[in-house]
Amino acid sequence: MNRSWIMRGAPGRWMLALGFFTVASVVLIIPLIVGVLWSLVDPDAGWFPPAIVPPSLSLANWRAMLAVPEIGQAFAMSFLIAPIVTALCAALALPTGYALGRRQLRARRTIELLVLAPIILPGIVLATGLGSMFIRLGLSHTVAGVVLVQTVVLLPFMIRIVAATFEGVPQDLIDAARNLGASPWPLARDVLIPLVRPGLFAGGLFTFIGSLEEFVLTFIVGMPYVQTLPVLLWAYLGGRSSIFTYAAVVTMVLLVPTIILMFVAERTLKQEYLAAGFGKV
Amino acid sequence: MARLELRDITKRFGRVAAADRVSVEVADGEFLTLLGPSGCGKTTTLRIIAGLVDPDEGEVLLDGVAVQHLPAHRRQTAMVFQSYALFPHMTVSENIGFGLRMRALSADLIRQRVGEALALVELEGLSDRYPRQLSGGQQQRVAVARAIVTRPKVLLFDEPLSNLDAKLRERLRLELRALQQRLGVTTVYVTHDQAEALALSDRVAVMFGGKVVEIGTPRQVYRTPRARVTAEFLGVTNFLDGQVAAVADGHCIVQTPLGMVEADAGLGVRMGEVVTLSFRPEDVRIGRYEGTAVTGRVLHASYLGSVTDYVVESGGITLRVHEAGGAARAPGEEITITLPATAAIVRGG
Ligand SMILES: Nc1ncnc2c1ncn2[C@@H]1O[C@H](COP(=O)(O)OP(=O)(O)OP(=O)(O)O)[C@@H](O)[C@H]1O
Ligand SMILES: [Mg+2]
Repeated sequence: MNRSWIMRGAPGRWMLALGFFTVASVVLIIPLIVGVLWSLVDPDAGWFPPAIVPPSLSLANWRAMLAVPEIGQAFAMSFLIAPIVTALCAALALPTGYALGRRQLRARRTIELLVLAPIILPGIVLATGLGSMFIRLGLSHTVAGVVLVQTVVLLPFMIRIVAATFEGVPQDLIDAARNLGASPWPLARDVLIPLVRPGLFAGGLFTFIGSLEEFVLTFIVGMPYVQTLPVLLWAYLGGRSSIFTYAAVVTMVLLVPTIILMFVAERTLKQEYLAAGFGKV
Repeated sequence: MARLELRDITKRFGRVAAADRVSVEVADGEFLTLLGPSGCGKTTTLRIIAGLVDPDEGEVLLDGVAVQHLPAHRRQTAMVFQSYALFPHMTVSENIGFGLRMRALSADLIRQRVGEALALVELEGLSDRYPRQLSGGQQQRVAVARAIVTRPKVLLFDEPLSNLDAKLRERLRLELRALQQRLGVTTVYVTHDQAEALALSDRVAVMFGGKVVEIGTPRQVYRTPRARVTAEFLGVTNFLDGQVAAVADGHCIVQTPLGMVEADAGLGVRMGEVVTLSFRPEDVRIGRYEGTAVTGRVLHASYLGSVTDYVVESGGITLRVHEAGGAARAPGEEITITLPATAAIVRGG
């Protein structure tokens, strides 16, 4: 009895923690360290196998990158587009999520499929299709075009999360509010929206980060005038010769705000809300 | 305060008639309970009164005025939900004040009325807590306070005590009844617990399969049920078939295999008619008394604390008999039992 508890309980937990740590270090921590190292590589010395760490470090890459206006512009562009896309997605996802989550729609399955199509379709298929459409509509090379195209691909995720949150609101709470005299607008303002706010936050966070990281469509629609951080990153990595050092700097510029955002969000939101919101996606 | 009337209320969900021509009148200040098994349509009926469900047919009248076209938020009913349905993002006092805010009362008045309601349910110290920080019993009181604070015309309860333990349930039952009488508010209460229904109500409406089969005072539905299902649902009962041998001013004598039993003849029984009698285990006495006494054998005995529950066989018929007191009779023992002085005639399958 006692033994089996030890066997099952404690080592199980340890294994889980160990597994989690391994995965986290492979996908997060090690790339992060490598990225930091690359951005600090001394351009005169370089970094070649089999050296595990660069032979000497310097801030030369940072200085070089921050000296050109490109990176600042890309940064501004990224952080201009992301909030707009997030706000647009939130505004569109709220009513759609409500309809999908709370209404007994006859065409619900079809609508769901349509809304989710951008998630299901392979990204590159979507990208070429949407890209050529946007070009024909004259929306290419504009910030508005990039905002729109990002909204199209990110909205389904937002709707998913918001709809799931709406679905999770107990009917009794809505009935109770109506019973206590809440007409539709106060019902939405005082009960429904506060109850789905965690889902809206979680979805907003996803959307914001998704917008920061979106590359394919931003590239196709925005090129060459709208340059966000990922597009700039590609410029350093996509050519014949990959400039790892500069790319690493751009990555840091992209990554650090994202991580800060995650931390802030995690602190603002209650952990349980995050878990609930993410768990249903 | 108001008089509530349901007229031929029908609501179907697909093939199921959740409410089937339900007609009930609730007098001003009366406490009426809808009692019935799970799925019989109690909640549906209650939600129709609140306007949360639209009936397919029939009318809901408040003080004689049809209200079924009014949306839920204008019905002036207040409901206490089985789940309590407290708003998780609001404190206790915000929850209680919700209905008042919706009615756009002044902040001062809201504070005062919330304070009164908190005092009424004895929760003064907890006004700033969130629902998740309360025990089940406290949540229940908040739900009650939130309902009564709006001074509704009709108070509706949907199994408000079913999530509480037995002891607390009994205490809150008494408190609810006292509160309702103090406020004098017309009340419809839904439960599937017969003891709760008997203890709380002025009248009990017994529902089966969407239909109200019987309405009466707790004594009437328990002592002299008219429907077989009522007798069965309201606790343990004995059924005994027999033939009417004599009828005289409201009473009749029924010849049963165990002997003559007097019964209430309110339903217009005819001479020679075959009827089913119903009587409670506690109406059968062990020993020879005035009335029809027969001998029988104890098949099974279970000690329930306040009474001992016996299964007794007599002339091929088994009866349930409850005896108070300490006497213990073993299975196999021969005993004499006296049939009740009066029984109820019940109808229906
Ligand atoms: N929204 C609905 N859609 C379909 N069927 C429903 C709906 N609401 C209730 N029903 C059906 O109507 C019948 C009555 O349901 P109702 O909830 O009124 O029963 P109840 O007496 O309150 O039962 P319980 O004691 O279990 O709460 C049931 O057969 C139920 O399945
Ligand atoms: Mg119910």
